[in-house]
Formats: sequence, C-alpha cells, structure tokens
Amino acid sequence: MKHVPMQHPSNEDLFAYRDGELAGEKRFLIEAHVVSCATCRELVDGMSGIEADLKSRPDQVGEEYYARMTESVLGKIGAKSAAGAGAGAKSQARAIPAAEDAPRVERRRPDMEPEAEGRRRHLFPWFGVVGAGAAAAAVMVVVVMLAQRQGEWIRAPRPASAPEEPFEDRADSLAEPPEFAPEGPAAGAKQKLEVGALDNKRAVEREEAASGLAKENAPAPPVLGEDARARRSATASEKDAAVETRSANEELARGERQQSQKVDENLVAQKKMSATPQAMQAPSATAAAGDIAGGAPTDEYAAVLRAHGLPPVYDPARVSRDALLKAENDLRYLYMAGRAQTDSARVRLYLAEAARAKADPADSAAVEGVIHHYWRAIRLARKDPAVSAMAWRRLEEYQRETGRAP
Amino acid sequence: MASERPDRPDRTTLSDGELVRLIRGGEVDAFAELMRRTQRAAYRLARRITRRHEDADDVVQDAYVKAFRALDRFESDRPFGPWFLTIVSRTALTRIRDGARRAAESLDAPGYDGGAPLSERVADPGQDAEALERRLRIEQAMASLSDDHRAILALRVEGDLSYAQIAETLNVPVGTVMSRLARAREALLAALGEVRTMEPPRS
Repeated sequence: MKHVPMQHPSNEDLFAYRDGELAGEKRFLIEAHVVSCATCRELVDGMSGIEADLKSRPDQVGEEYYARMTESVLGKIGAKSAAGAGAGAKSQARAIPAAEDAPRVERRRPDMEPEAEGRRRHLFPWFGVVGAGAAAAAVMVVVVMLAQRQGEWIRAPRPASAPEEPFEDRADSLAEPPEFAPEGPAAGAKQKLEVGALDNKRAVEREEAASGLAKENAPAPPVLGEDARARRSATASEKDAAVETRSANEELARGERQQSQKVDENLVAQKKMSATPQAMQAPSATAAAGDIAGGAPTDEYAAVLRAHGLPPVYDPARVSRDALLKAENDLRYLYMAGRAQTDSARVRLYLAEAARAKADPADSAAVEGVIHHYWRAIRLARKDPAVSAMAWRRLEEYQRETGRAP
Repeated sequence: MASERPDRPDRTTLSDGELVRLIRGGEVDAFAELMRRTQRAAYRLARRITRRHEDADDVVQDAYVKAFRALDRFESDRPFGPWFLTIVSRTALTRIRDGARRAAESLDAPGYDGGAPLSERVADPGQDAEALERRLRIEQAMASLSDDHRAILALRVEGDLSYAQIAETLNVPVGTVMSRLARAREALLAALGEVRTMEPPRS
C-alpha cells in the first residue's frame, strides 16, 4: 500500500470522504489515512455522531399540521379547479416569486461523485461511491435476498428501476465464489447462496445452524452456472438480483489459481501501523491474527457487528447510521490487518467500483482509477486464489481493452 | 393518511413521475400525494434554516407553490424529493437573507402544536440524562451558528442533499460547498467545546 499519506488530510477532504463525495484515487488516499489515523477517525466519527443527533431531533409539528398545510397549498394552486399544472396557480392574485428557485440540470465536477439521489452516501461510504444507481441497487438487492433467505430481517423495497446496461459487471462482481469452505459449527449446515457477500453468507449459515432452520433451499454444492439459473426463478427479487451471475460463477468455478500467494509487503507494513480499535479487543479468539483461508474469521467479523448492535445481515437503510459507520470503521481494521481473511464483500466492492469507473468515461482519472481498483481487489484477495484470479483476469482484460500492457 | 381527504383517490402506490404526469394532465389534487411524501423533510429543513415555525411554514408553502409552477421543468424520471428540497432551501435562504425576523428559537418554547417544549421532546423514552444533555447541547450549538453555517449544515444533514445539489442550491461551485461545509462543521465542533483547529496538526 504505497499510498498511505504521511500528513493528515484537510478537514474538507475528511468530511467529503465521510459524506461519500470523493471518488477515484483521492477517496482511496483518504480512506487509507483514516484507517490508520486515530485522530482523523475520531474527527470523522465525532461529526457523524453529532449529525446523527441533529437528524434524529423529534418533529416539532404533527400530522394535523401537515394536513392543514396540504389543504392550504392545494387551495393556492387551484387544485379544485382541476386545471392543468400551472394554470391554477397563474390565476392566483398573490404574486409568488417566479420559479427561479427550481433547480436545473445538475452539473458535476469530474473528481466528484456523479449525482445520484436517494443513495446513502454518508451512511455507507464505500457503498455510496459504488452507488450511482445500478450498483447501489445491486447491493440492496443482495441485502434483500439475504434477508429473504434468513427470513427474519427487515425486507427492503426493491429499487424501482434497476438499470440494465452496466449491470453485468456489477452483478457478477457481487457473485458468490465457490471455493470457500466454512468450518466450525456451521460446517454441516451449509447453505449455498449464489449471490451474496461471503461474510454475510457465513453469518447466515451460522444463524441458521443455531436456530435449526430448515435447509429447504440448500441443496448440493452449487453447480454454479446452471444452479444459479435454475434457482433464479425462485422469487422475483432473486430473479432480478441474480441476473448475469453466470459469467462470474463460471469464471470462478474454473478455479484458476494464477495469483501467487506472496504476501504484499505494503499490506504487511500497513498492518503494523494499524492500531487495534476498542471494539476488536474483545472478540473471539478463533480468528487469530493472520489466519489463512479455511479459518473462521467471520466470528470476529460478526463480533464487531454485534458489538455495534448490528445483526449479521443488515439493510443499510434500516440500521442506525451511527452504529453502521462505527462498525464499518472497525471492520476495516480487520481487513487491513488481514484478520478478515479474504474480505469478499470488500473485494467485490472494489470490483464494482472498477466497473463504475469503466462505465463513466467522463471521469478523467477513469483508466487509472479502474486499474487501481483492480489492484486493490487483487491485494485484498491475495489469500483467495479464485477471487484473486478473477480480479487478475479482469485487470488483464481491461488493460488489453485500453491498449495497456498487462 | 391523515392528509388525504376522503374524496381524494389513494395514489400512494404511484411513483413520483407518475404523479407528476397526472398533475400535468390536469389532476392537480395528485399534488397532495407529492406533498405527503415530502412535507416532513421540507418542514424540518426549513425550520432548521429559519429557526421559527412561522417562517418555516411560509417557506414550505411558498416552495410547494413554486414547485407546482415549475413542474414542467421537473424531469419526471427523477425523484421529486431532492429537487423539491433545493427549492425549499433556496426559499428559506432568501427569507433569512431578506432580514426576516431572526429571533433565536428558544429550546424551552412550547411546540407549535401546543405540545411539550423541545427540551422534553428531544428526550427519547429510556434515554439517559447524559444523552439528553448531549442532544440539547448539540441543538444549542447548532442554533448558535451563523445563518450561513447553519444553512449549509441543514442542507447536508436535514436535507440529505449531495454536494452537487447544495452547490446548485447555493449557486456556488462544488469546491466552495466542500470548504464551507468544513468550516460550518468546525464551527459546530467549536461551539460544542470540541475544539478543532482549522487543520489537524501535521505530522
């Protein structure tokens, strides 16, 4: 990780990062710093807590006030006349300032996020950056699917529109790799999810093992392409979410292992720099530092979520923003310290980020950004040959497409 | 819905875009549903900026009328909420800049609807005294900020607007939004006694 800056970023950058407003290289620079700098993290977290309090201030007016306001406004715009838009208002004697306050088409700056209403920028920083439309929808659908599988967490509404064009890369970047073999209490109760984050999947498995839920939809190990297609018709939202999973699944099923396992020296250096956050000092001992593939690192992962009052599978829209921010901050330590094993969710987010950057030719740093995202994914996935190979392959493909030497 | 009159059709399942098309097609009372979806956020934003109920009430109503008149310019494949909130915030900013009454809101004043004062309402049931005190301190710190700082924080926090939307609202470049927002947040931290220098110490 050559990009850990030695100086603190400006408050502008820190807050913009927290708000999910940074993109590309800059975002990663700030992120790398925040992960390893307690001072900046405290600033960012402190501000998040304050704003959460502001936002949760109770309403000072009630429903009856809103009802009165509605009737008052309808009267002003001439709703009763059933005239066309604007016509009723024009008949009003009262001079209301012309609609110069109505915003026009938005501008954007190349180093800033593309505009996307409704996404949860500050709530879920890196999801937010992924989140222009399709990717956010894909992430949400994954959450919904997991919620359905688990059968107990809140069902989130399906995004109204899931853009189709750039979906493939994002969807397959979220696809489940086949190689992970969870051990421990859940080992005999595997449930194969064709789409989903590894850690969430494992958490679901453990939950189900613990609660003794039936495994009606947990057949044999996934025959990935076909299996995913067959089950895709199970529910409507599954259908949407699983669109285009086959390429990644098939790709993964090949199980190529071209990625060398040598440890990235920079990551090791960063591991040394990382302090241990409070929430991590207690968690289970099953995840020894630096554990390798096949261990049960998600105990620690789940413990962090639990410490922040979050369920193993959560809908970002429904949980406390503050808890989420804090939990994710702590989780980064796991990733960076190599204690989360391969963090498949995170790897996928980098892949999705690459897909987003690829889809955005207006991004001046797009090519470098895409390559950077792939490198991040490769590094994070270094303990998982299959995922790593997938990231390598995409990097090489992309380099060929853009005429860059692999 | 409390705001729905019995003779108004239930349009809660329609998308914002469908509602806008209905309104453009002459079913003006469909605007009630757009209002129902946005008025809480709009009022909170306006109240944060103007600090007074009477001002917030005027601002939100004016903003709805403006939005109605500008519906032709609204791109109906986008959500109505953020677009409308930018209108609310511009209207609110105009109001405070025009020198409307700016008496600071008292946290102990009774709520507009005759309910409990804010100092009691900010207490969630079961919340401990320390947390209540913290929330009150934050409210007071927010109320003590300059209009500009309070407004930009309100746009971000209450309005949940992106930097690009805030830039559009304030008619400034996005970079300016970044720096103003950082200054506003620093001011809030300073008001809370959690003092931060403009730049963290360099190592």
